[in-house]
Amino acid sequence: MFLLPGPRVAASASAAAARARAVSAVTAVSLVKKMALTQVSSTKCFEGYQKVYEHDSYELKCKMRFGIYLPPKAERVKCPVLYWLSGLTCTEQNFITKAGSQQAAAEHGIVIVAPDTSPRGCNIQGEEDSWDFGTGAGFYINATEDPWKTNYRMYSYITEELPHLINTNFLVDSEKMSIFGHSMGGHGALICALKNPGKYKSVSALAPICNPMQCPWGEKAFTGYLGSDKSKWEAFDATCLAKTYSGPLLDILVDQGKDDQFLAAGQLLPDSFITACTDQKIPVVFRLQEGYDHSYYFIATFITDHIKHHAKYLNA
Amino acid sequence: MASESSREASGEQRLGEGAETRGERLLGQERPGNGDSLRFYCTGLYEPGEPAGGRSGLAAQEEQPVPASSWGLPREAGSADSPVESPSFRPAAVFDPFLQVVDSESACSPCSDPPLSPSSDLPSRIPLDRSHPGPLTRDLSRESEGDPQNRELPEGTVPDVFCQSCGIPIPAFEKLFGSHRHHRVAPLSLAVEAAKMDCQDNIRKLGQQLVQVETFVSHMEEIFVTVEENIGKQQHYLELQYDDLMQFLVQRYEDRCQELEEEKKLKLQKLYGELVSCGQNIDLYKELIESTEELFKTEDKQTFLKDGQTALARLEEFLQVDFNPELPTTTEFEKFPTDMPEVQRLIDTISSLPVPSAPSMCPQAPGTGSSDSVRVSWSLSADDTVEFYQLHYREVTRDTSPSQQGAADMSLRVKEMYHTVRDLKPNTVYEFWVTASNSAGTSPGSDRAKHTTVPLAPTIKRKAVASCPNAALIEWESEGRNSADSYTVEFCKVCSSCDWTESLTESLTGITSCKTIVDLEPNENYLFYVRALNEGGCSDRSSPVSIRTTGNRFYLMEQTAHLALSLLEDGVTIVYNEDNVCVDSPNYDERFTRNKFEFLHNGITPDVRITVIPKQIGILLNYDTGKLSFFNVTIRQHLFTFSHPFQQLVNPCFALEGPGSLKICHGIPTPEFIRLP
Repeated sequence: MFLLPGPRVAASASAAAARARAVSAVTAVSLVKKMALTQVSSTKCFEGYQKVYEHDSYELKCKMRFGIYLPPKAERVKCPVLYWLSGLTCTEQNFITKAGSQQAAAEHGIVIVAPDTSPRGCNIQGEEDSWDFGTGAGFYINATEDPWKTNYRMYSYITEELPHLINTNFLVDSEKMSIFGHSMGGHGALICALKNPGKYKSVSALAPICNPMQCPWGEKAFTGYLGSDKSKWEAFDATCLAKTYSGPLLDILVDQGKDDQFLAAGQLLPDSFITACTDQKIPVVFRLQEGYDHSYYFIATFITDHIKHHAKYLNA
Repeated sequence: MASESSREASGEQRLGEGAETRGERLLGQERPGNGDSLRFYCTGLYEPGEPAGGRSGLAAQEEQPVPASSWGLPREAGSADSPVESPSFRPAAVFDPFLQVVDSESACSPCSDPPLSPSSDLPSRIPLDRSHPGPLTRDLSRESEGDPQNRELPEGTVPDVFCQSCGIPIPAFEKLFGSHRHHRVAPLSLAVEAAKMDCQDNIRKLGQQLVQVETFVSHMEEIFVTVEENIGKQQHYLELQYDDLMQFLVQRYEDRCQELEEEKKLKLQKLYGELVSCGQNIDLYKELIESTEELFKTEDKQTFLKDGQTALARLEEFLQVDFNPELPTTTEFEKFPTDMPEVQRLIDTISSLPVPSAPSMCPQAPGTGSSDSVRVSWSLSADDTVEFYQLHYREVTRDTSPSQQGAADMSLRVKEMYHTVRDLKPNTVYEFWVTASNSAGTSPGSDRAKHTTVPLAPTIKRKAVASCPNAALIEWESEGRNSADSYTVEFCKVCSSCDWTESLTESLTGITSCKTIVDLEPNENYLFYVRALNEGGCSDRSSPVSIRTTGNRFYLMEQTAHLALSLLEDGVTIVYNEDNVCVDSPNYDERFTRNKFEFLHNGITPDVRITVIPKQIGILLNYDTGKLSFFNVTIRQHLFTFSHPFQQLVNPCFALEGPGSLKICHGIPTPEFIRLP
């Protein structure tokens, strides 16, 4: 209910009352804003439901969609949440349609949330120019450069707004949260976990960009979003973060297709990450999978292993 | 008669003493016909010269004039040491104590063994052979001096103790003050008890003797019966044999008669033939003569001359025939051999013993065989007497039929009706047969019985034993060329606190293969044995193998283990010993020199990098779903999982590539962080 300004009958009392009402109104507005999740689709899958929701994001200042799979167990019990971050050019649809994660999620009773990869429809100039920068390439950072800094705050969206949204709108266990992703999403998952010790129970990645500062994609994106001061890039580089990580034990599972053309192109650079983790005694199991490439076929092959990996910690 | 006179003297002396001081009752009687010797005796005096049977007569009428003075030893104080002789004492074989005890008056026995040992100046003393005679036993060699007074109770006294030295009941004050004061005494009741015990002993001995005699009698009866039987058997057989002989002789007689008869007929026929032909000749001659004589009667001279010529010719013809009558046959008869040798032989074979009949073999009794011996037994028909048996045997295969009667490999001479044949091969079938022999001959062979030796105990393959908390796999091998029919596995729990004692042993029988899986309880220690069975029985137990259901012991694989690896005694720790490294070992596999972790299967390893080197690796095998997983246990990190459907046994095997040691812990419960799919 909005407060309608009325005649000033009693000055002081009404002023106080008005202030109180204003506060509550603001709260009400934000509540309404938060509660404005619109379901876009809901499909039964493995006895659970694959749903897509849309909402207005205050971090990204635009409408955002995300996919959420609710396992059958979620009707009775609060389930843990696993966040999936997709790679370059993906939307919320790629993962939920191609990865085949629903079966494992249903089996282990885990809610999987798959957001979009960047803000959309912001009408920023140059956002559509390349597939690896701008739309569909948010890189899960908080941009500091113009014109990106208003909207391109994917890091905060993923680590703050989205969990809050999920926790309030769904019957989930807000204490049990994990994160994983593919390629750019893998990079995002790693930095979110490394920058927030203890927030995520486990992290894993498929063909992640491990050391963006050193690879062409990263250089391009970080230059655009964060500027040319490379010291600012370190805060969003998984390898650098690993070198200085101190926090609860993270068990990291990384799968990498051996025939991934981007691996050969030097975009992914897992070795430096492994070295950093070895030095820092961060447990990593890095599997180089013979014959696999960068596609969703590769993701679909190993998604079950990853979900199992997370289930070990989320369901513990 | 020197002794006589000395006796006299001492008798007088003692008399004197006794009469003065003791006042003991004394009976004296002078025996007629004994000269001047004064004889004293008292009732109940034991006369040593008396035969045993006369002992009961305690009355003192004695044949032998052996006065008390003839007894041996001087008594205590004051008595003169007069030499005394001891006549030959013949103690009674049975002494009736009751008479002595009951009749106190007459129960005087000579004092024996006065407490003061006599001085050695009595040369005729018979040496003491018993140091402490009982109340009733007679130390006859040491009788006290025959002072009859000492052996008699004073008039009117009631005895209440028993003097063991004299063997008479005496009143107590006698002990204290009287002549018995140096003797040993015992209360009357004790003496009575002792006397009764002696009697009971004797009764018992008599009883035993009785039993002995009775058994002897029964034994004699048995022998009586046996002899009767045996002789009866012999009689019967003799009758049979003589019957045979008689029949034989009769038969021969009849045959011979018949032959003679035929011969007679033959001869008679021949003779008759001859007779007939002679008769014919006679007729012919007569005819010729008559015709010739008629011819003489013819008057016509011409006819006479003509006929006469012919007649003459005929006569001459006849006369030319040589008439030589011979007897066609002899009058004697051939001598038939009377078959005496045959008869002789028959007579010789008549002996009192028949040849025994073939014994019959008993079948193999279960449990009597061992791996190198079997117990063979046989029985005999009741009519036979046998001196010894000859046991034959040979080795056969299992499917040899009894009709294939081969020759014996070995023969033994056996006296009993059973024998344990030794030095046989294990798990082998042998055929046994036996013949019985006595002085008359040897019986035919018995039927052949097959006996089988038991197999040798199998050996459990220690390295093939595997165990998990709920079961164990045992494998063994059977020795010998033939495999046994089945096996039995025996096992029992070993109490961990106490020593190994055989509590409850479980057995699994009827196992036909050489391995088996046994369900067990977790965290226990078991001992396993295996036995082999065949139709001969059960072999010995194999050597035991200890199995713990807490997991396996591990063994070094000798063919592929690096020389530097060694296994500690606990069976679960491998050590790579730097000192033993030798560089050019031929079995050293190149694969084990790389630095990263490898999960090898079928020659391929997935390219896996691990950043934190695990201190503890957890290995999880899910056989049913075909998954083998490795974990870093410390950080609960899953390292790798092999997915491969398993068809055979999966065995863990460990090695080290660098110096250090590896300890294997098994029997760990599955940790919670393992999610089984």
